[in-house]
Amino acid sequence: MFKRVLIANRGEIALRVIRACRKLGVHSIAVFSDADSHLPFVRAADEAHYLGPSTAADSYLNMQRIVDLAREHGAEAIHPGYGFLAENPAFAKLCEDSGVVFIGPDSGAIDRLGDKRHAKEVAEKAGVPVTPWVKCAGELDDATLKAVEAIGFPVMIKPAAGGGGKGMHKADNAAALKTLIPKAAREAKASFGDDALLVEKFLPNPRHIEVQLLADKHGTALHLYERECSLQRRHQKLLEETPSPSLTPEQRERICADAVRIAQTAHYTNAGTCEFLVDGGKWYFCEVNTRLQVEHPVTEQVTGVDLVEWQLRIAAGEKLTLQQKDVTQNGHAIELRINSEDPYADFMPSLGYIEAFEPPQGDGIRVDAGYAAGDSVTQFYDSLIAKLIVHAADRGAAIELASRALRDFIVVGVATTIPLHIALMDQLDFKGGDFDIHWVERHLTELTRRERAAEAAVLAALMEYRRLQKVRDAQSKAGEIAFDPWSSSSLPRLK
Amino acid sequence: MEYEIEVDGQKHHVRFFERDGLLHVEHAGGVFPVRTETPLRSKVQRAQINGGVQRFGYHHGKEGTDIVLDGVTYSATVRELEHARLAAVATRRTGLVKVDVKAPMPGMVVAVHVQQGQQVKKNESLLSLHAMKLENDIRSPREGVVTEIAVKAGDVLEKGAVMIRLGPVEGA
Repeated sequence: MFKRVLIANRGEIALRVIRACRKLGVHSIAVFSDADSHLPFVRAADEAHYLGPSTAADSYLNMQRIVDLAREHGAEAIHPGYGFLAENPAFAKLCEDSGVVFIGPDSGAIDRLGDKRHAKEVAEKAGVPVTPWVKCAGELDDATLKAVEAIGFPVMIKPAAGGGGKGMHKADNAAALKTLIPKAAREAKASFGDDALLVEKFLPNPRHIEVQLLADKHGTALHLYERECSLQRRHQKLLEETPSPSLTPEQRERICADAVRIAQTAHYTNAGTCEFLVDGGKWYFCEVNTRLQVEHPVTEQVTGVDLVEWQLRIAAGEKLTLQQKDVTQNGHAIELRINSEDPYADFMPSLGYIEAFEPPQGDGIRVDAGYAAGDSVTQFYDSLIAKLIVHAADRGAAIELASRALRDFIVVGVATTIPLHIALMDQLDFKGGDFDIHWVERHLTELTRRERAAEAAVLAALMEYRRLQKVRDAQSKAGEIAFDPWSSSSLPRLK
Repeated sequence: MEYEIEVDGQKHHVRFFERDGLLHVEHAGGVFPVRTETPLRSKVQRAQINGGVQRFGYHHGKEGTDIVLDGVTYSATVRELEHARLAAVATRRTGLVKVDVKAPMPGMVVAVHVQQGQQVKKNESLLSLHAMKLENDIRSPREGVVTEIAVKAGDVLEKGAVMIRLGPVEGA
């Protein structure tokens, strides 16, 4: 096992990797930008070094600086977390060439699979169905338009190098395609440093189901079952759970086997995820995420397998001691993403000082948070401030636990997605497992009611009453003291 | 003590008084005993109103009082009733004629979708602001006429920068 590992990330995922390091007796090294110097992950690491200015390009995306810091401080390996450089083959290559282990697949696999176009070709080779698609550059040319028309509108535009739903847009016709492609290319360039796109057939109401994979460098690949990630808004996942309420046991076995076949065909190593769109009992492979996922904790809760620990072990060359038959799904887990966004203002990022942060506690509750009271949410990075993960015997119990835990979760200072999740837990469609990837957008009105304004008004008045009482008490006390006959200053001067 | 509280555009009247040594609140025709012991400086408060226990987030700032209930931030302006009455008279005289649309966060203007003099509806898209890796649609807070466009595509804005000014619709 490595002795020293550098974590090229921030927030909750940096903390998650620090915990795994601690468990394995590995010395953890955090790196941070100007904006992040005060965050919990910087204090939690065994060692922390300044990386650069707040803008991601100058800090968490600065490959050379990160590798230089790793070498300077004796780190044998770098964990990239998710986002930033996690799926950048050039970064993995730079690590390899600099004699630092990249904790993830090798740069060749990231290149083949991280690019959605190549990934589709791998899936086709593995005999797994894919949605019809075409390659596209930053501008729409006639040949591409013809190919897209052959697939038929509506279509989905995706960054080829992307992940996390950024830069994805739906086009209903050629005119929309023409306007959206440059916009998607700009967003792709800003988020992933590559403006290559792909356009694929839009499935009207599919579910998003993904399969967690682990593969070692000795030829063993296994799956850790699926995650249901259909509850999204603007292609950003809001809630993930496992097992999926929509798969039959037979479908589950088959989709998981398909994912393992893709990993084997690609000679994939380390942790990864195969994403599928599922429509009417059929599934289509979309992409492989060649990294740890934000939503990995639900898999950990249900299978009892520590995914980050295995990422480190596999990267260090260890064999998977786990066998497929040992991996079972125990109970039900749900992850709720707590983003600093205002669900009542079109999910605008809510920035600023966190006045209070009181996460729920108790059996079956896990909170992976990147911030604490007294920290500031800045505009430089994504809006995820915490993940609430609940684990219970079955789905119904997990929903009930989530509902209670969400109400106990108090954040003051920034608006969060907590109220959206509270409302979601009460929706009959959600309870019945009856939803697809557009369900949230269709039901935003029900999910963003403000029903307790009258109670809030009474509480606001109560607090104001108490505040003024205190001010008046202090004033009258000050007055009393001024006329205190026993105080020497009040005594008449004797001549 | 009597207060007028505005939350989500609705006005509420609340009165506090002591009876038998206990604080009571009168609101919407009901009278309930209130107990609250959490120190004022705490941002997480607990109050017992009419026997029911309520845990909530609290922040008092320059812009008013925030109450966080079930994750929802309710921003309230609380005024003693006397002050509220005087303020109401003053507002009636001046009237609300202009609105400044300000940058809700630092970011870069991608495109402005409206022109000077254009009449816009509430929620109509005014411009796109690139921030936190996403293009955010900035919508009109109300109906009005665009009287000034203070930004153009490519401008990098600080939070709170005035982007667009709206005036009243003629004849409205």
